[in-house]
Amino acid sequence: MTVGTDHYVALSALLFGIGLCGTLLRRNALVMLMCIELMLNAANLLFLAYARAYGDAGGHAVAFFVMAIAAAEAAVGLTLILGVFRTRQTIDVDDLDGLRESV
Amino acid sequence: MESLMFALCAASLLVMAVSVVVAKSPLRSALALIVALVNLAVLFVLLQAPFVASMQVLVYAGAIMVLFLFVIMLLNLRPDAQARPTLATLAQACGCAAGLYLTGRLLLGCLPAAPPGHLPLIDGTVRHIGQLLLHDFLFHFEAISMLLLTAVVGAVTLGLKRSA
Repeated sequence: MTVGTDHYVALSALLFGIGLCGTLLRRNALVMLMCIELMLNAANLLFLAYARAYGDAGGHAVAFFVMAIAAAEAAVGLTLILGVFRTRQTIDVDDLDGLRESV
Repeated sequence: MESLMFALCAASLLVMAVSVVVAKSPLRSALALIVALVNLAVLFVLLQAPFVASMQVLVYAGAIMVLFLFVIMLLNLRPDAQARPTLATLAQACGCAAGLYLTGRLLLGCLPAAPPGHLPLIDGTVRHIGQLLLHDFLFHFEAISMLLLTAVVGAVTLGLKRSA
């Protein structure tokens, strides 16, 4: 059996689905951020798989950009989580309902 | 040999990704995510992308995950209270199923079919990617550097303690 592009596409779809499920299911802001990283990595895997399928190294450059954006997102996101924890002593996103209409 | 490596890494990657989601403590999630990212780096090597693979280990498994671990240690959280109402869990499961279905349809339906036949060789070395980044993708490269600078300044500003 040779590993084709389809295998990588299926793996990327599964990884993206796991990350999406984690973002929807978990209420811990830190774990949600990690699941977003999983989804970004699924996109990267897809970029590289198609870069190989078409023999175009441009996909590698785009994957590099995705990594830089993930770094920026992690830095700002983690600082926001730290700030929220400092004022509210929790990072459970269900407890952060300060703007919600009180019933 | 290649298919064996792919099967091993893909299986390990999926197991680790699931354990990121289901682990109770964020620390275990972070450790599982590190293993998953290293597995992805091996897959990148199989895809003839040595530069991106080394960046994956250096930037992702190195820098970003160390940042995560620092924040986890800093927060000193109690383990998640997993007791959630059943109705909410059911609604979440339905949402997840819908999300998964949508994802599958999108990914498998909209992707262009890969050209058949023998896969072409591709030059994923630092020299070639560097030429691409500083020639074809020069504007994007500079935009990304501005984005990173903004993110650093923003993170420092947000992280400052209010001195009032």
